[in-house]
Amino acid sequence: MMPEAALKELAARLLEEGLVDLFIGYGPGSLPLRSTPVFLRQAAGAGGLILGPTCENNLAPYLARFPGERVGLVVKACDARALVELIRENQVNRENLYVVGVPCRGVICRQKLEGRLAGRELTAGRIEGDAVRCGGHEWEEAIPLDQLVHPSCAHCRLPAPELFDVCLGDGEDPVAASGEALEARDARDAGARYREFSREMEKCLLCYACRQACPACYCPECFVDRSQPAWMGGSGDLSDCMLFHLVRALHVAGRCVDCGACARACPQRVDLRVLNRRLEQEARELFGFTPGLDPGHKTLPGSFRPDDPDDFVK
Amino acid sequence: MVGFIPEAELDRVLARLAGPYRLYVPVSCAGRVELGEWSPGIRPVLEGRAYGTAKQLFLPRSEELFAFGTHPDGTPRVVQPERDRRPLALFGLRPCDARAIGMLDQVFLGQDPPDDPYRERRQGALLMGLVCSRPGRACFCAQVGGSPAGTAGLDLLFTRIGGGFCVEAVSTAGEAHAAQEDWPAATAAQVAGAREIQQAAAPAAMATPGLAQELEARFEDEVWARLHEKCLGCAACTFFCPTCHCFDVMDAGSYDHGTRLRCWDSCMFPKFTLHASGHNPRLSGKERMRQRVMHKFCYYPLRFGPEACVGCGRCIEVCPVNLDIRAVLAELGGSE
Amino acid sequence: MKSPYVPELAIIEDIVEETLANDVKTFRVVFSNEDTRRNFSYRPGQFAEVSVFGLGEAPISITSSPTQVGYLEFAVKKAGVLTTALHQAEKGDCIGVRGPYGNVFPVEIMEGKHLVFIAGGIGLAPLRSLFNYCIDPAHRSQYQTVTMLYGARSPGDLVFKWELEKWGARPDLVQYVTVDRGDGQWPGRVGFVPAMLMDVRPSPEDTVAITCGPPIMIKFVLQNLEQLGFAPEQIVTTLEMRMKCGIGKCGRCNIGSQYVCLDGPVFTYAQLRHMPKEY
Repeated sequence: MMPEAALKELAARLLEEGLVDLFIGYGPGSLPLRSTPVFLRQAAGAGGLILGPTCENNLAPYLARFPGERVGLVVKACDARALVELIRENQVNRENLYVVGVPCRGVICRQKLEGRLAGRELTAGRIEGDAVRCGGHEWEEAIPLDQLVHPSCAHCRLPAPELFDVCLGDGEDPVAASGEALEARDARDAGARYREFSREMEKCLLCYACRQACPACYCPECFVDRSQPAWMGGSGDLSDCMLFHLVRALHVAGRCVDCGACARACPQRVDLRVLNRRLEQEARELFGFTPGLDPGHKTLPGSFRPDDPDDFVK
Repeated sequence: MVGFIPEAELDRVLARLAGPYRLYVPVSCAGRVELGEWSPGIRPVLEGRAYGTAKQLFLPRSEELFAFGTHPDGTPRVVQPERDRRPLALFGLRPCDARAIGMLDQVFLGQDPPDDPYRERRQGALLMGLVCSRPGRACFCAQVGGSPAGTAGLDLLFTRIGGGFCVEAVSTAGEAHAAQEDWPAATAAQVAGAREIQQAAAPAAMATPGLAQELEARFEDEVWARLHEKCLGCAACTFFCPTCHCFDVMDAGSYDHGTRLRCWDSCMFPKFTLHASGHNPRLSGKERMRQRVMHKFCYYPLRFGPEACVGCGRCIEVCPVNLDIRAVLAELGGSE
Repeated sequence: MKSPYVPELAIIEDIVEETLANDVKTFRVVFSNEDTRRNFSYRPGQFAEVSVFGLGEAPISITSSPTQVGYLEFAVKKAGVLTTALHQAEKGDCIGVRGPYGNVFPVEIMEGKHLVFIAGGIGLAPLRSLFNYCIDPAHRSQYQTVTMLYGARSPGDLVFKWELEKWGARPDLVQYVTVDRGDGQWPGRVGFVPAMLMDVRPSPEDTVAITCGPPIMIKFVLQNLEQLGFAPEQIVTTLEMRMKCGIGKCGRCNIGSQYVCLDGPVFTYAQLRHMPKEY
């Protein structure tokens, strides 16, 4: 059975048999090539569930809103890694969760798509095999999916869910060659990197879509919202934007699973992964730690090894 | 009278405006249409509507209300900023965006005291609209009382026909400008062509009488729990809304040397209504999303008449989870 | 032209520490500019935006009465950034004041009526402006009996104690004071304000009740007033909301379609009952 059909059947059964109170998945969005999160409490709605490259949101952040309820959740591999972190950090009770792992070939990057469309408005779109069929006013174009997948997917080294109760469809290859070589350390000088960083930060409006979409950003009160002391001015000038993103990056270092949800949520197309990617690399290279894999492992910031190369804690 | 500007003349028309005015036009910017300051050589984009709103020209993301500091004797002094005195001119504005500016006018100018910084930018501004010939995928202006050929808030209305633009003055300021420009009259055929496009663009009126009153009675309705379910609680929708105007006032710097700023704020943020005592009248995302919807479709109409939504669809486009206000309205028993 | 956001400069002339815990202080301020001092006219119930340059501004009710000429008084409870900064201010310091904003207590409707003031804690601050206005020799004859019911958590939390003594000594005023818990030396009444209201049992006949205090007190005061036969139109209260602009622009202080900064802060219970419970 195709994964999507299996998902519909499974969600209906879970709800019907009362195994979950709520099932969170994706339904068709109101715009072409978009999906939207759906919250099902009755089996009747399960037929509307969809899967595929339009399912760009990470649904894990929603779990905090339903404490005590038994929730069925659709997870792509990266979402599952986020879930592992949430379980590790005692934010989610594994026992209340029914995790439905789904295959993923990468999700569509709307920024790449916009670039390809070059100003033409997309009014219809569908996925056919490896092609994304796009259409608008008096034009049609098929674009290979691998040219449109989000950068976080293109660099995805772990495309199969690690944590699940059921995994639908197995071994579907990601469009991007998996295990793409680790990015080389940025060799440019500090000035060039700072200029690029500033350019990205200048776009930020501090709408906090990134934070809200991020499964690792679950603080009940974000540091930017504190007024005594006020860590940040809030006027939205460049230093505010830099401060927010730098602190957020450090706060999710060793916890960020590079799902890319933050970058896809950004209405200003800020390249938010530029910071996280580097910190993820540091965690991997310096500490041999990849977030989101083993819930039994201590958190990276919460663990210490005697052979730590730095001596500041000794 | 309807004037006619040949396509090839547009550049000269814009160049004449650019002296006395700060002229903004839709430009292509990294694959998107944005409002940008015109300079010679810039070709306005006449398809689609700008990704960002025109409100940011009148109510910037952040602006200085005044500066403060101290005199040599230590007593404080307050200095109001000098702003660019040249009025704004906007060309290629979509009718929905012009209508939204009219709604901001009600809040910032229509209630005493007028908002000084806003008035400085708004006074003398020339708004030149362009009729939409084809609705975008997220457009729903007709459902909220607007029209792709609407003139509300505009001074001049441009209709693009073969070979150029028909221009009509739709305000006294527009008439004054048209008289000054003295554009050649459009031929009967050109006027007929413009009318045809305007009528084709104009959708059937689908206003929603009584929605405000109906919503007022549904403040405690259970439906809100479901409607806000997928909302992440970010401010993308409010920052990209052409009628959202909530702002914060804050100081930067110190007693000796600082500025008082006014910056965009959003009812979607928990801090928005947080009292110093810790009490917060809008505790969760449900209350905050309800406020956003109610402000647009209930509170603003009860105060000023029309709904504070022009159907531009930006909130639909920028929402990270594709929460569609049209669906929200449908569920609330409004249009659709 | 002057922007409505630019405050007038004012000097702190006097500071009174009101409470034992020193968390409420009353500031007497005088405008630096003589014209402003003369022309700043306000009525009981209104508020002003008070600035501490470098830290921002906050809406604070004017606790002095228009009958006190030449200065303004603000009673400030230390809570947020701005009020904490104000508490660190000293005599002679310069602050900013813009206003007055908001509507006023319906003094005309109150004319010829018995007045019952019911206040809790710092909630006395906004009522004090009206109270002093009504008991001023120029206005006292326009009202029948004037009664004050006031309470605080403890004797040390009572504000305007020096004035309560003055009011208590006046034969044309009736005053009841209570505290939630005594301190061993407190000779007066112990109990909650709503309970004291039921003991005093003011008649609703030709009476207007004016109340302000913590939300929980207001809730029970309203219930008890209704039980005593007060109609919603006879009950007046003043609300607090987070505000920024004070002039109906910043979109923050609405309760339904009502803006607390424009349509309030004074509302009758009749109005409140038709507003969403979101305050």
